[in-house]
Amino acid sequence: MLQHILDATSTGSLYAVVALGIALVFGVMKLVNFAYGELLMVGGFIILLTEGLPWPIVVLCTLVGVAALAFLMERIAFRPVREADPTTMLITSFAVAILIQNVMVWISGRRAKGVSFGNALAEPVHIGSASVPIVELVTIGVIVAVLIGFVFLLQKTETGVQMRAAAEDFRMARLLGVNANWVIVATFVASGLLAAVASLLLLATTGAVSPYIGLTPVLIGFVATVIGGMGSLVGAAVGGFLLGVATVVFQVALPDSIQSYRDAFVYSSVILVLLIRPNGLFGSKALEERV
Amino acid sequence: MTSVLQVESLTVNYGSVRALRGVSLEVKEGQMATVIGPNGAGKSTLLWTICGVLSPEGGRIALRGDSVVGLTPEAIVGKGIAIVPEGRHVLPSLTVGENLQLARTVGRKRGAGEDLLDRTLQRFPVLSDRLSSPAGQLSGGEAQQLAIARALLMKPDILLLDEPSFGLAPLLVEGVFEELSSLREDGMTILVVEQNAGEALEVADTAYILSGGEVETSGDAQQILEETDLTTAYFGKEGA
Repeated sequence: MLQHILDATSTGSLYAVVALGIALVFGVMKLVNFAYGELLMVGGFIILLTEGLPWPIVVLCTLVGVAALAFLMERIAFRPVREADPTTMLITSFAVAILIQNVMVWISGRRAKGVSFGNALAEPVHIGSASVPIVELVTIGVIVAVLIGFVFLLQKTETGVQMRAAAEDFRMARLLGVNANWVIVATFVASGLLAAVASLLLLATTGAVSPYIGLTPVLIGFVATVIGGMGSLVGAAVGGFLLGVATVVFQVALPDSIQSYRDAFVYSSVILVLLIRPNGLFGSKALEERV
Repeated sequence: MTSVLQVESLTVNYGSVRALRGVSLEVKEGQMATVIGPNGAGKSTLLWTICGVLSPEGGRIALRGDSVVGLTPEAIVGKGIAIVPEGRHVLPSLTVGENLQLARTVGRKRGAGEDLLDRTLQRFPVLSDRLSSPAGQLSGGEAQQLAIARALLMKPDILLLDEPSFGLAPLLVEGVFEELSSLREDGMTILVVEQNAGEALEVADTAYILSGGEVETSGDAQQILEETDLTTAYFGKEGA
């Protein structure tokens, strides 16, 4: 039982971080950044490139590299279309995603590559009768620390208050003097840092990287933000956590004969949640017009 | 008396509609001007354009003689124009204190001392007790006080208010206009846009009646209150 609880907590918390990264940008820009998955994927390749170096350096390079890519994404791709129709921004995000993915295919090929980062964490520890891989405990610990850090950033720093204000009512935030360029850059960089953390934890668990590893997390993150309520940061984190927990619960509870249909059960539950609460669990007014 | 805000021949399109056609107005130091007119006359468009949220097709907007056309909303706020928008737009999940904190950052850059917060909270004592409450929990009247307090903390040269009486109970409406009078007496320059013409004209110095995106009548507010048939001004000669 303890093993299942830790499995669920670890998967749920990883999904929560992915969802938070998507929700941050959505809150401020009203943009579902589908290129977010590519940030995570590039993080994976930075880990591959820096393999063999001491782990703190690998972590630092991934954080800096992915945050820098998020910064460039905003400056080069999204800033020029910021005032455009939301559909234009959405298409831009697909274009950026496909471009980055194809560049990585060109550089490294389509096949997945093994990454030894995290091998040391694969060993199980025994807690009572349960046998739990260290990586799950590390994932839970890191994500709790990251979420505490984020709460601190958003609640206690001036930039954090500005980010929350912009996520809630972008036009009013600007009319209270919040610098749009600064807050959007800060949001993209913060979202990049979350993608880097997700990337490190994901690769430590799966041990493989390919140009396509970003797709599933971005979809999970998107669904999680919808469950939580588009525009609500807390909602996104909770939505991600619940989605992760539901995945593990169905994995454990379903009989072997229908276990391959696990995702159908998970997403049916999502539909059920949305039928009961169409605006998500923490629905907000974030879908208002962006000026 | 020096001019704080000057709008000259302002033309603004809102989508495919020409919302303002050659609107000119002036607000002088320490005075309160009001723009009244029916729904859809272009009153809110005027304020959004002054604040840089909408871009004009033509014309000039100047704050103390310097053009603000083409600047971002945050740059315009930094130059000294603060707005209390229609519907208050308090940031509901932020606390009252955080709503005020955002505005204070602008105020500090504009040379506001630490005492400005104390003075503002003395003016709106109900906010002092609610600093750590989410702004979304405030009543309509309290939210209006927060929206005005927030604007004052930016130490503006001119305060714009869009329909400050909108959605408030009659007793609270009276309170809002009393508050505006008191601010004016303290030397604040104010431009207030209102549908509630009678109340607005009673407290303002000058008035502009906007209709179909054009200034139909302008002049001394008291004179307009006494001499203009507001029903005709609002609904046309046939009445509605």
